[in-house]
Amino acid sequence: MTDTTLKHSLTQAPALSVQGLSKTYNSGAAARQILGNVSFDIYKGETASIVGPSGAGKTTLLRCLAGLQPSTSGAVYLGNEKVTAPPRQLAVVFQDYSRSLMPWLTVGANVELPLRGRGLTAAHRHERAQSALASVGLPNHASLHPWQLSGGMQQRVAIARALAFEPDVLLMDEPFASVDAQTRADLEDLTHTIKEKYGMTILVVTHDIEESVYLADRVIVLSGSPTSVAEIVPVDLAYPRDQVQTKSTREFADLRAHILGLVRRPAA
Amino acid sequence: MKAIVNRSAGLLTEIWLPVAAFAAWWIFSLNSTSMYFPPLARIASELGNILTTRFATDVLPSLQNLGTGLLVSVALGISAGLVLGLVPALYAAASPLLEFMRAIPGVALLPIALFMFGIGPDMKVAIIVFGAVWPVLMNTVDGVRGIDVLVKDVARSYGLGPWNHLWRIILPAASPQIIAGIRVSVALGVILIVASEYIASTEGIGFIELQSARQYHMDVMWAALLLLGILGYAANVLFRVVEHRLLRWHRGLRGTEQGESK
Repeated sequence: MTDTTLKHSLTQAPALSVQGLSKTYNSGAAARQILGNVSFDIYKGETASIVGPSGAGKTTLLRCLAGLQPSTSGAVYLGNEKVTAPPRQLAVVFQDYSRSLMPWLTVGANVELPLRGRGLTAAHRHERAQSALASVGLPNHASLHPWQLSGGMQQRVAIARALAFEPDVLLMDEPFASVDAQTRADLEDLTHTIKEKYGMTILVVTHDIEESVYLADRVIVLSGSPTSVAEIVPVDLAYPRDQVQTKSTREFADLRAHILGLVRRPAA
Repeated sequence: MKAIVNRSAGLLTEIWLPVAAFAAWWIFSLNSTSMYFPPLARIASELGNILTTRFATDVLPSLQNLGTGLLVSVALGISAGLVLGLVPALYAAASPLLEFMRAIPGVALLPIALFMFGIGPDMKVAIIVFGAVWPVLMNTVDGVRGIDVLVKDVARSYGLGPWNHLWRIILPAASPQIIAGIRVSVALGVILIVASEYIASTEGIGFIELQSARQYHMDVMWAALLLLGILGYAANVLFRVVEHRLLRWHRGLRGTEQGESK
């Protein structure tokens, strides 16, 4: 059994609650259980990360959370609402920015896309897209096409699109896995910046242990097959965090070692 | 400035051979007495004749029928293709029937079309539609079915309404394939309009061609043939311009933009 007891004494109701989520692909002899009884709560305003080895079903989990895929059993609640379809208050940043941005639309039109059909005037839409683009450091790129930008800049556009949507909860699926190390560090810091500015709840799925610690207030460690929650590790590192200083503290090293141990522990 | 030089250089490399070929044809046919191969000079003057005296009665009807037929084909092909592409169960059920119908050459329907629509423009448009709708339809289905799962996820997770989904995601995503299909349909349309004008017709460029050949007016026949070539070529150029504009993003995405449009 998984111990999902919270080590934090947070008092608010969870923004996102995952209760006994299981996912099995196929049935009969070909059945393959990916997720087995995954439970955790994400609280309003916190940044949490989900870390686990490759093939642990992280993307499956995220798709269930985002309402893009039904679970076999268990449920996901966003606030008090059970998630059965992609909820309005939730935005997703996908890993593969080159495929998640529409190449036929300009950067500005990509960011405005989720705002369409919501009764906003063109000017209002434009303004919100501009402000989101400015927040990710791309104020002058609206008229370019995504493929004219570097990978890191494209992922910034994808983040801006999510910001323009003004979600309560931001889900990020391995958002920085396809960019170089320096860009990755910049985007990690950008995540802290937008968190400070917009104050939404953020859940980042990653396979990178350092990243999971650096970004989050709590790290949800997945392991085993089928995957379940091994432990939820609170991260008490001070803000603002710094790529060099934070990562060279004793606490950071301890957390990293602890999580590495959990991830590598063979399935029971 | 450099772009202009590049452009003219590009045009020159493209145009010198056709110009040379026509010049050679002109010169070598000047004193031709062959009944089948009259001098190009005479063909050219007959071409001028067709364009001035028979434009409204023959050229225009051909163009109108071709245009109408292609418009209907494209509209029908895209709409049916969207429906079939978006509803896999329907496509699975309709696919054998579609493959069967598309295997029937468009011209094979001429006899029945004659019965049903007479020899007027309706028959010609119907023949073009029946023959030329398939490439657009099949390519639209393929284009829609081939849309990246991630693109669909994005559209779903951001809760796009049906209209925005169709207009800003599905159609543009499938547009490279749709346009490739239209290109084939245009070529088929030209073939079918000529074929339909061969049969019990009283007007059109194909009619001029057949009628003049029967009357041994080979210069007029050649002129009609040249006109068909010119029209087909012009349609292609026009199409390339449209394609160039619509698929700018696609070229950019593939990194194949050759700098000629910058």
